[in-house]
Amino acid sequence: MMTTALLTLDADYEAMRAIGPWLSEQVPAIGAPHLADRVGEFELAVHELAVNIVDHAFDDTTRPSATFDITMHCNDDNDLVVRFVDRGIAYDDADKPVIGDEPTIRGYGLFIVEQLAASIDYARSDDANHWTLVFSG
Amino acid sequence: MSLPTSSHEIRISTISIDGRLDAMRAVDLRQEIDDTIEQGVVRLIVDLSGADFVDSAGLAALAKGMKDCRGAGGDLRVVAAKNPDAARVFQLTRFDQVFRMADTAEDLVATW
Repeated sequence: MMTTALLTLDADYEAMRAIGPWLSEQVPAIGAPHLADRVGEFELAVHELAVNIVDHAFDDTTRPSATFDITMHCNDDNDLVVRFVDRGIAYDDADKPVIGDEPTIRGYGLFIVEQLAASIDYARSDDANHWTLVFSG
Repeated sequence: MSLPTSSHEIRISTISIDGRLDAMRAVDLRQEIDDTIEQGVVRLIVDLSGADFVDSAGLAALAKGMKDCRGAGGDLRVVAAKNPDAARVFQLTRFDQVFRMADTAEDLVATW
């Protein structure tokens, strides 16, 4: 039996503070107690992707009433799978900053996610953005 | 016979961050850094020893502050976070090699 945890967040920065406590509570509850000591790294990755959604999927008109969903489960390989669904503006890969050797000031969010997650996938379907992060178990 | 002497006063301000330095709090930090520079203090220490979470927005606020301080002839230096969850973002982005960092503010002041 697969257990899935769901978190619905308002599209604002303050709401992002619910992610850490949610992960701490739900990672063991979904059958992934072996990953409980890695909640800190999961939080940073999930937080960065969520902030990216707040910043880029919505604008000043839509953001005040917008929400998006995060679900997570543990797959058969004992990996942690975290999915994000928002009904905002489609993600444009061309907007992604290039991180080089020279330190830049903005744009580290997705770079950090890529460092922490084993994989990161994006798809646009049914007028929604679907992001999937997998963290190796 | 007395020898001529001179003294130089260096002003260093320290901003301490406890708890979270995230997208929400980064706005306040940026403002505090701007205000401090406007007051003529361009040597800043941001003490993260009590921080338990730092994200890329917090990092960006620090990096912008460092750029502004250096542009004005000073620097922004960082007391390293003790909590590994707060230190992680510096290691992942290699900003731990960009900022001058130490374990205490005293160590940073001593080398100024």
